[in-house]
Amino acid sequence: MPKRKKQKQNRKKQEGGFAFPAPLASILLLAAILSLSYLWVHGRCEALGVYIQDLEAQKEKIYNQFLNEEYKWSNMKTLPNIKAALLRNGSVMSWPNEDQIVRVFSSREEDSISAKNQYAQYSGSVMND
Amino acid sequence: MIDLGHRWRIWVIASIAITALSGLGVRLAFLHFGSSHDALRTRILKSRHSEEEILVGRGRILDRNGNILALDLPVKDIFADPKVIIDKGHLQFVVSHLARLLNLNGKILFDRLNRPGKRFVYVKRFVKNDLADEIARLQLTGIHFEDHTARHYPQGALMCHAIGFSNWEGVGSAGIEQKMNRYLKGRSGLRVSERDGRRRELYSRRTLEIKGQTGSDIYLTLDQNIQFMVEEALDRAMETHQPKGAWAIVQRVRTGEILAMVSRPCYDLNGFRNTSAEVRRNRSISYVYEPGSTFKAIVIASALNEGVARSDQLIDCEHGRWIYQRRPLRDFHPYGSLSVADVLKKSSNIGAAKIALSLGKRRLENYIRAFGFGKPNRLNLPGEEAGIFHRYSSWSAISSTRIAMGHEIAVTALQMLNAVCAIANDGFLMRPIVIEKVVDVHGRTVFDPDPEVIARPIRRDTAKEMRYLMHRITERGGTGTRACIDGYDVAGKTGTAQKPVPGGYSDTANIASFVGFAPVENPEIGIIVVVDEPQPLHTGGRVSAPVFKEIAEEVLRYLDVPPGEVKPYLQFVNYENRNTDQKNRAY
Repeated sequence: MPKRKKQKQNRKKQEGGFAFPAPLASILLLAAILSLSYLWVHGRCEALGVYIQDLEAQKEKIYNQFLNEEYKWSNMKTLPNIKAALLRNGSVMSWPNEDQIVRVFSSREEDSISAKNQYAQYSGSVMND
Repeated sequence: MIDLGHRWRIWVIASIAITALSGLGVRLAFLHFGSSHDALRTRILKSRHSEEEILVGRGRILDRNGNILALDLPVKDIFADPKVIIDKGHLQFVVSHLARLLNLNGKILFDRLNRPGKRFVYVKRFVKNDLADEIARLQLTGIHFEDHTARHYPQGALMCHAIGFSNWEGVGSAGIEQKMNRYLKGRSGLRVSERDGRRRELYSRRTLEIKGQTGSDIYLTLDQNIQFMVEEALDRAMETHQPKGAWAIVQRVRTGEILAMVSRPCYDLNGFRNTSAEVRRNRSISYVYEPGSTFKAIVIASALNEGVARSDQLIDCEHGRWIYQRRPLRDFHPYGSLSVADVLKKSSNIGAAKIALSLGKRRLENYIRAFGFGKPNRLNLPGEEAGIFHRYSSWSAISSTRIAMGHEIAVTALQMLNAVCAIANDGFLMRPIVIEKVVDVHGRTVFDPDPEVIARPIRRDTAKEMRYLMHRITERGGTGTRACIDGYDVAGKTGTAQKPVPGGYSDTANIASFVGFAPVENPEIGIIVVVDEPQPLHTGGRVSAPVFKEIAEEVLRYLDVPPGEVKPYLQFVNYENRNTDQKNRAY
């Protein structure tokens, strides 16, 4: 048989031969989709993880800045500093004279720093009572 | 069709591929099933495994108005790699910048970094972030930074003895920092995770995270403004009288809250490492001294309460010299007969001694203990002393006469003030408190001490009578006239105690003190001022009473305490006239 004819027969055999089974193809396709989805979700999670870490670092940095500012503010309003600032600006503060003070009796009772309660709920004995 | 001439190449490539794959296969099989499988697995897991302690800062310390007194700050340690700096030839450049910015000696820094064999040298520790960032922006060769937190005290020396400090390891080592360490230190967290090849944490492999809990905030009863007033007054006294030390306390009479606690000499809390233990000592609670005449108030209050003496009863003061049990007792100024009220006003040792004798040893001891002497007040501060006070069974025959004038007993300033505040507080002895509350990081109050009455040594009527007797001391003819304040009635007692030295008492070294309260009718604050070895003046009336006046004047105004006049409670008795008329009643 001539060589050319034999080759033609072989091609024919191949064309009509193996056909990929449809269910297997579906399964493989599904597996591929699942794998890709998994990879995508995994990648997304990793990205979110990095983002969260960034936010954590940012939060810590801001908190540290807050502490620094709090310290500076506390330091700035210490009494020696306030006194120095008053001196710098030529401001003089003094207590009012007693006759310059108007006391509103009812409000004083409520707002005064003086202790309203006598905390002496004492159940023990008094010496020579 | 494959060319036969090239077939050998296919075989070679196939052989190489098969060999390589076989090798990999064998290696894989060996890794998975070989004898060192477990060890290898452990090694890999160990190298990837990460357990990180999440460090948290200590809680803050604040005054009663919420002003920050202590807080943790993020700082940086700056260190250098001298080898890299020298190899790149940047030593001079790096040193000049660091010395300028960090305020370091350039020559010393140069010598420290000029060591090619070294790979690690600290340049400066605990540098504030602002400054560290400025240095980082210069991108100096071989300079690195490490994050830390460090304790900072924005008020510097203010309240230094009360606040105390925490050491480099973050452990409270003095004052509130030490006593309240369990609240302040917080609880560090834990993070269990894995790291990649570049040692970065893999968030998705984080298996455990326990959040750290920052320490709780401590709110003190101390008031920054009152503290400042007292500190300024004491500083002026230190300058005027050049004493060895001075200390003062301001206490709220009704509640026992300490509003200010000052001790001199003082130190900057941010530089506590450079101070001696003596300077760091909180003398207000740890310095035990003989109270001198201030103690007469306690003895006379006891005698009045017990009914063995009346305020108008005359005592023969023996014209300034009295021999008792073959031992002489002297008065600073000689007096004939004085009423009990005047014994206190003129501070007669002989009169007080006779009153103490009339009380008897056992009762005297009981009263003194009831006033809180001889035991610590359980204040939330470390180093509080109990004082020295022996049981009456071990007293000598003259002990009562010496205790009456504030000798043979040693007290702390806090004990003395608290006892006098009991007189001001209708006889109720309050427990002194310095902690207002402890608030955790979630804002919950976890410790909130209530004012507590610990004893009631005298009745209300005795206390009231004593308040007026003590008020007389600041009136004309009394020893404490320099404590008078315009617009307010003040009560108090002066004390000048010779310091004990081996073999007796010193003639030159004294402790001058004044303890008192105001206003007399409705006492709001109690103040004690103690000055150790003032020069050249040395009496409580001349040294401490004016300091008391300075403090009380400002504090009463600051607290908006309305001035009040003393009701004419005792004016039915004219002690001055009775002194000469009633000699027959003299003890």
